[in-house]
Amino acid sequence: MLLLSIIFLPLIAALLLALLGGDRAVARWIALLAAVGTLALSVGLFARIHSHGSGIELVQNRTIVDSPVRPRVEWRRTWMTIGEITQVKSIAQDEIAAENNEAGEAKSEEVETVRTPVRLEFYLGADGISVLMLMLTAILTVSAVLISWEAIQERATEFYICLLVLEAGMLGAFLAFDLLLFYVFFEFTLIPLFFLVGIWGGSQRQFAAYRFFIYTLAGSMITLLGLVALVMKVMQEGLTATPFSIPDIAAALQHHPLPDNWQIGLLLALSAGFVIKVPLFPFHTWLPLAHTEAPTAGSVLLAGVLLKLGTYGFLRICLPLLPAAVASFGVPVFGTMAVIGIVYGALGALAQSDIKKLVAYSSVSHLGFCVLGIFSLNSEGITGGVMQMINHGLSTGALFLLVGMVYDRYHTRELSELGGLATRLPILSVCMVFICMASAGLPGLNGFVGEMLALIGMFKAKPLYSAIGATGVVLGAWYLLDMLRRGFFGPLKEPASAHGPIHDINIRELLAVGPLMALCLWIGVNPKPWLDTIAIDVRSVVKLYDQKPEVSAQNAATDLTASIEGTK
Amino acid sequence: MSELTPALLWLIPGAPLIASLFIALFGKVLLRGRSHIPCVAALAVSTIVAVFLNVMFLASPGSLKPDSTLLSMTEVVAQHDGDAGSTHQGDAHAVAKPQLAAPGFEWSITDNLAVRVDVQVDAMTALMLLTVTFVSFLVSIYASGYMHGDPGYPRFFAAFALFVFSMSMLVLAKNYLTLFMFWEAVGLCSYLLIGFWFQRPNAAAAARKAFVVNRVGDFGFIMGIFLIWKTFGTVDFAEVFAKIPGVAEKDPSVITTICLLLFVGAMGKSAQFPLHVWLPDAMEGPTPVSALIHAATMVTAGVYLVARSTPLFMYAPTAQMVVSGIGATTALLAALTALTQYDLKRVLAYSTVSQLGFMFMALGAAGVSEKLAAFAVTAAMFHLFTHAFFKALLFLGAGSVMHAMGDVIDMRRFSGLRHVMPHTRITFLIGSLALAGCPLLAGFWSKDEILVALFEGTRAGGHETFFTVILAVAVVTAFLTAFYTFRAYNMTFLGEERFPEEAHHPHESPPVMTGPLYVLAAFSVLIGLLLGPTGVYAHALGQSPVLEHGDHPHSWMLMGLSCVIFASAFGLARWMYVVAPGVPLQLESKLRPLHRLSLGKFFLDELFTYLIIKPVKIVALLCTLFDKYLIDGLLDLIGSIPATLGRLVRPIQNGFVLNYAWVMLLGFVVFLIQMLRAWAG
Repeated sequence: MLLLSIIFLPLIAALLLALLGGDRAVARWIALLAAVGTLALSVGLFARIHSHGSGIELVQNRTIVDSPVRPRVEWRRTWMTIGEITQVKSIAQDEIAAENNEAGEAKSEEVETVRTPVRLEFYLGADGISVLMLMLTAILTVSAVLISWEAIQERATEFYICLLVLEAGMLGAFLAFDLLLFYVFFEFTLIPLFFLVGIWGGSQRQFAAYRFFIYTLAGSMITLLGLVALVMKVMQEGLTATPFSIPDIAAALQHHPLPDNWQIGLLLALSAGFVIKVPLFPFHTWLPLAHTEAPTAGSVLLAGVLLKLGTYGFLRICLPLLPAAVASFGVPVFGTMAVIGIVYGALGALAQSDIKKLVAYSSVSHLGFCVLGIFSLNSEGITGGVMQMINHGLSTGALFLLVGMVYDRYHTRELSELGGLATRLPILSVCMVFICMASAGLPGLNGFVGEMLALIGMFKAKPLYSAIGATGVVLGAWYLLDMLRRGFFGPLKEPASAHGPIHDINIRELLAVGPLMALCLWIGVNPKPWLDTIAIDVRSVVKLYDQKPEVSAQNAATDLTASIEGTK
Repeated sequence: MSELTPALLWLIPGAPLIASLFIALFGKVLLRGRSHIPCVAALAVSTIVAVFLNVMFLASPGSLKPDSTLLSMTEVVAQHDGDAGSTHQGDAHAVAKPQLAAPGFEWSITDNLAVRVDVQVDAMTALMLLTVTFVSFLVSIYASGYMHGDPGYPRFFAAFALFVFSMSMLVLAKNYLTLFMFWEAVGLCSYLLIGFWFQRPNAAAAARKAFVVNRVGDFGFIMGIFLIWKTFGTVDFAEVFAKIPGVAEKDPSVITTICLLLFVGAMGKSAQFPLHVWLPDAMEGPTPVSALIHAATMVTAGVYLVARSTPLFMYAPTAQMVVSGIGATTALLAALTALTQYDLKRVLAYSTVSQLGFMFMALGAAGVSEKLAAFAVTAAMFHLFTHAFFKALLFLGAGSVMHAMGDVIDMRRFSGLRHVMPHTRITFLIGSLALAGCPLLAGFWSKDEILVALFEGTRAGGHETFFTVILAVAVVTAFLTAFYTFRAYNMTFLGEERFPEEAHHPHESPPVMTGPLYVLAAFSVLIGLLLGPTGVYAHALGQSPVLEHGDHPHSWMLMGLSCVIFASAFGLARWMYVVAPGVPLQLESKLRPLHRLSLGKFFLDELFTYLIIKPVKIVALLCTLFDKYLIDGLLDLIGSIPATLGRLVRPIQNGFVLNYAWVMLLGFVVFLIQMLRAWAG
């Protein structure tokens, strides 16, 4: 129920806002309350998972014993049954069968066919990775509400409705352990963000909103095709009675991997939506535009959470389900794209004079580290990739908050119009230096943990990728410190249009950015508890890739012949 | 006592850390002008503990009795430590080497990479700690006077204490990754302190330059650590060193690669050619910072890294030659640059770069033979030790001059300060003598040891020619060093008395500043004589497990040569800048191209600007254009397809019902015909 309430709390609050209408003062308090409540719930979930350690909570007498994807808390209900599949009971199903007290029949050597109804489910769950993403989403939403407090004057109620609906969508995507549900939430997030950019954005907001909407939608349409094909194939092969459940499919595919050409085809289709969402080079051009036009809260959530849906998709769907294709095809293709993205994004950031655009390009670079880590396919790399997802969310989220604060004061983000702000805004500048250092991967702050683990993981797998990727760290220091030098150091320079007294950061703003900074420091100084949270989940995925590649290739080959014979 | 050891070890970095946090939190509201107090107090505590540690190490009869008290302490620590106990068993064969360790906490752990933040002290660390804490302590006292009245007073001391914390953690690190983490942390402190006067565009630019150039070096360093981890499966010093012979047997080239990568890191931090360009610019920071971070301590971290990795470098003779070669190049180039600089602090900065080059020359000689290794490393570390004192002294003296001259540091604008600033003058003179290698002073002994090490390198097999060249460079550089040092001294303190107009009433600095100068001066005179020829330093350092006991060669011939070099350079400087002050100008006009080259710092900054920075910026610009026109253009093209298709079929849907009816009829007819055919067929 906790899982459900995490999704529904922001939704109910949004509904309440929609019904009540009300003015800005009420709306923002309700939104804040809902956001803080959701944060509390997700921290509660974290505590629950953390206290259970590796234990898997039993729900409905079902548990996933041997699967690369194992939620540690789950909530699953059958929604409806659609037709039935012919399932071949073989040795592989023994373990599951034994759990279901059918041991007697199944242990027999002979192969028998069973007709099982196919179930469509509502399957929520959480493991270490998703619970960290939940907390990230929840805390960034709180910051997003706080930063919009004064900045959003028009249609404030609608604004907060969009924000809360967006939060619910993101939380849902991280909680979904069901392909259909994941996809629904994955797509659903586009709608509130479309409105956030299109209504409360900058001067080119409508163009930006349409572009990002159509672009990401086009990509995820192909992902949908891939999902459908995957489910159909799984049903056709009769692998599981719950062909939408990610853990169940992953468990089944472990023993009956799909043929290689299927895997590669599916990987290509599935990743279409993910590479655009991440975004990987050369699919990144929508991002700087969307960021520059989005309101601060939108940017925070877009960079902080939404981009991670792409990397999360890779991690949750591609890696566990399509191991052969990921190892043979995914690593070189996405590894190369990630490496290019790291360097290209950093160079792009170097050329910007709009701070927000600079941060947007830096996101391309930083997300490259995530993908690099994930596709190193070893525990260091994947751990690093996941940590980088969290870290980028915290530090880039905070960067956007701070840039937003500067914009609120001066109505410009052009570095050529600003200078020496440290004299006028000392505390804000301290925060900026702190976050830039976190973003540049300074040890002792969070960025280092993720980048270092991702790079060291990739170094183990492919040293060259790692070496090229590490140049991104050098460039990262360059563009961030250059931004600091131009905007915050040197003699004070303020745009002529700046009117009214300019005040340093206020308490509300400090509340928005302070917790993120504290987390940056905490993760950097003592990353172990965070790494421990995800260690089990990472290990179960990595187990797939620890076997000798020849073996899995052989399996795939025999399966290929089998499937060809089957079609005859 | 043994129960207290971990607490004591943690006290050294802990005290400055607490002070730093305290000042950062309360400095602005509560302490204000008293912000130096927590910092000075904490550093005093650290210094006392560091002295205590060294006394303990020196007094320990470790090399004689296998069952020393120190080792039993280590065991107690190991029990505290639990799982790290196995590490200490590896040291069992090296019983003679005293070592203390204190458990910290588990920083990160994945399946194959476990990193703990522990602290460990061996003889090398103890000596480094002594240098770091003692010099910082003196500089912090000096800074309380120098920085007095600055609006950023608390900020200065917060960053200062944070630096001492990071630096002592760097030398206390037990594995490469922890070392790297604090390596970057000292870089952060350096960034914050160079850019302390952030309103000045030069300071902001210098801070950024320092950080980014260091990042280039760190790129090599972290790659080296990755390779160490991949090769040895661990990043712990003791475990790595234990596994070297096995790895070297299989693939010696890996170790060479590792060493070269680590050295790239050292080149960044220790300002070796071509990554030295950041250090002279770093002089934009407050002078106490230049003295402490950019002369005495932080910049020696690279030397420490290479010395610490001696067991690795022993298996990589090629890397050793690179170390020596780069060291020699740096030493010579920097010395040549220092000849013509007019900014007193920049002369000292280039001198620092040059002296660091000296240390690396010596480190490189360690690869010649195993017998020589300990001596060469000792020579480098001893020079590091003495250099820390006299270079800090010189910088603080320069700061005192700046203080009096209204922040003017151009030596052309003042001269003859000997009457106005007698204390500064006498201590600066002592520092200059020590740096120039005046017999019996600190620099003489340590530089002599380096020359001996290089000389031995020319005699012991393999690379005679190479080390002859290196030795020649070292001798020439020694001459240049003595010359430019006294050029600076003569220009500043001798000659007719002149002040710039910024100096309203030139005065000697207050005792809080001259006090530390005298203490440093005393050390610059004494430590060489007391610790060098007596072998005390060598003995102390020899207790470090990374060094095998080796020879302690000696050469009267080289010592004589050192004396001659000093005397001739001193005389020449005196003649050119005191006796016949017209000579430098004549020389300048005669050797104009050379003078320009030296004054322009060999135009390396310009070279890098045009070879690296500009091209990267152009590529960066191209990237954004590529995004804007090619990628987005392609997207627009794809995006226009549906619209174009729509336009193509639009005429059919023209809204005329009659047309639709005709088409429907047509369809119906075709359908009917098909039906009939099927029925008939």
